[in-house]
Amino acid sequence: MRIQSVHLLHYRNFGERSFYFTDGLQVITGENGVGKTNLLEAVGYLSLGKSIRRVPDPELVQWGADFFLVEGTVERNTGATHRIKIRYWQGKKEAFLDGKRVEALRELFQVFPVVSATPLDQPVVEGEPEARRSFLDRYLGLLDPVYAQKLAQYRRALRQKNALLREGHVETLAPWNRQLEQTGAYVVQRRTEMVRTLQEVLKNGRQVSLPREEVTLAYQPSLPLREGILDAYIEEEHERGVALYGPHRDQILFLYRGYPLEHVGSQGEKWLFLLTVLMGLRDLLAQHYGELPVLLLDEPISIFGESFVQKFVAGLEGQTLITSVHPVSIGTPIPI
Amino acid sequence: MWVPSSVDRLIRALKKLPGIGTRTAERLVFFLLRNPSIIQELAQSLDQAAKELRFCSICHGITDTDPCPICQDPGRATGVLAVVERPQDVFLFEKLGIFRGRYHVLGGVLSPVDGIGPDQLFLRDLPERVQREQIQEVILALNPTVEGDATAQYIHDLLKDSGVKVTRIARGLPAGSDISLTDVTTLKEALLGRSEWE
Ligand SMILES: [Zn+2]
Repeated sequence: MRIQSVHLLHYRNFGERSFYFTDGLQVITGENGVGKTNLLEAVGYLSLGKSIRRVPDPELVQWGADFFLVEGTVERNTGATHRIKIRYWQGKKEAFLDGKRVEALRELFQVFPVVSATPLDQPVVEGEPEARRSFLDRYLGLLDPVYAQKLAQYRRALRQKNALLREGHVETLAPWNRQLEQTGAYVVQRRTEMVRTLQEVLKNGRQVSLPREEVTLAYQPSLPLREGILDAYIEEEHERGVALYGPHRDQILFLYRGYPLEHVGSQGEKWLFLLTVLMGLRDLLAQHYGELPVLLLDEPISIFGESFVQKFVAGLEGQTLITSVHPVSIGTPIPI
Repeated sequence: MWVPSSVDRLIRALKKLPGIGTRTAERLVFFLLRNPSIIQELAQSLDQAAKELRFCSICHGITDTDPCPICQDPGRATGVLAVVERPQDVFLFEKLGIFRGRYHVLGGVLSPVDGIGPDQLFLRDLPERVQREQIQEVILALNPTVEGDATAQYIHDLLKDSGVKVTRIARGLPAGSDISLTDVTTLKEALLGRSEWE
């Protein structure tokens, strides 16, 4: 799996530009402010249909323009190529795959999967539970459309339940609890499986950066979710005025040498941990799609240092795109 | 620009209808001016509707007599009651031509974020109705949304002790779909393939 070319029109700081990529490590270089990360983000946009930095679409439109267009050609290992085109105009986003309009953006990921890390992913390694859940949810939703649907239903029922708790109307909580138990059970089951599979992949996969026996992932539910169990907490939740139990409060533990990463890891170790998880995720997706997803890393040199990137990132299989403010002697330079 | 005041008033009234803007309203008015018989017909039916349309005090559907013809018809006392969200859902089921029971219109579904609880819906009179009309089966024909499902759950709990059989049709419909947009065949299948509450 690789990205061959990207054509941008009014995306971020780019008026109209085309970029071409080859196999292996691609190093997007240029001075600060020329838009290195914007190009990396545009490649991610072709896969996710949204910004890998979670920037809202209106902010991706070039100053003074009223639309943007991101086009790209991706090539699978079989040699087959696909054209992806996404247009954003007047608050409306349309995506096309080989000229045909796609119904759901997740279809793009099915032909062009990527995994990415940017400095904005820091909350994931700092132990922010919400950040870890959404990190996992993002990929689960892309792999499994039923998951995306159940999670959306869970969130909707949760909003309704919290509205009742805010108003103190607890006498009609039960039907919402049943909805939360039914949709939540699927969410918990899939997350648990995903964490377990990821752990397996990490254990059996190639060693990437940290010694793999020191890296453990675990899913810790806030309660053993089953039919009827949430009603036992109505009183407590009434008092606090908010829903306290369920997958929206579950934890994904990142254990380093058996302890929570956020407490024992140095800054460098935390990023290495994330990179290790990302590599596991890439292998897991490779098993699913039959090809290694393209890896996108924003400024890895300023995080890990040049020698690490040379030793580790340059030797990775598949295609990797990184940004770098420093000129480096490795990979194919993509000057902006 | 001078416009006869009756024309102006008509345009302004039409514009209050959903989906009708100035241009459409003007086009309709000039069409009506060329077809006086349609004006007569419209005026009469609007007048009649204004005088006679009301909600049935038993099933809360739209009717011109209270109780509505369905609630009055002894032939519809089959012991089966279909619970629907909106008055227009009744017409949809009537169009299917296979349902011979009666209806209970809720007037919406539970949605706390919109301030809609059981008291904002026609829910409180449902158990009483089930008993009074000796209902054997309550068919929940609500949209398969999170709110529709929670409302179905609420009704199921509400009727738990009454001994009535509670069934659901929505299972065969795709999640999140709108019953009123479902084609007749799919809805017929969903009704025939209804299942008892697990
Ligand atoms: Zn009636």
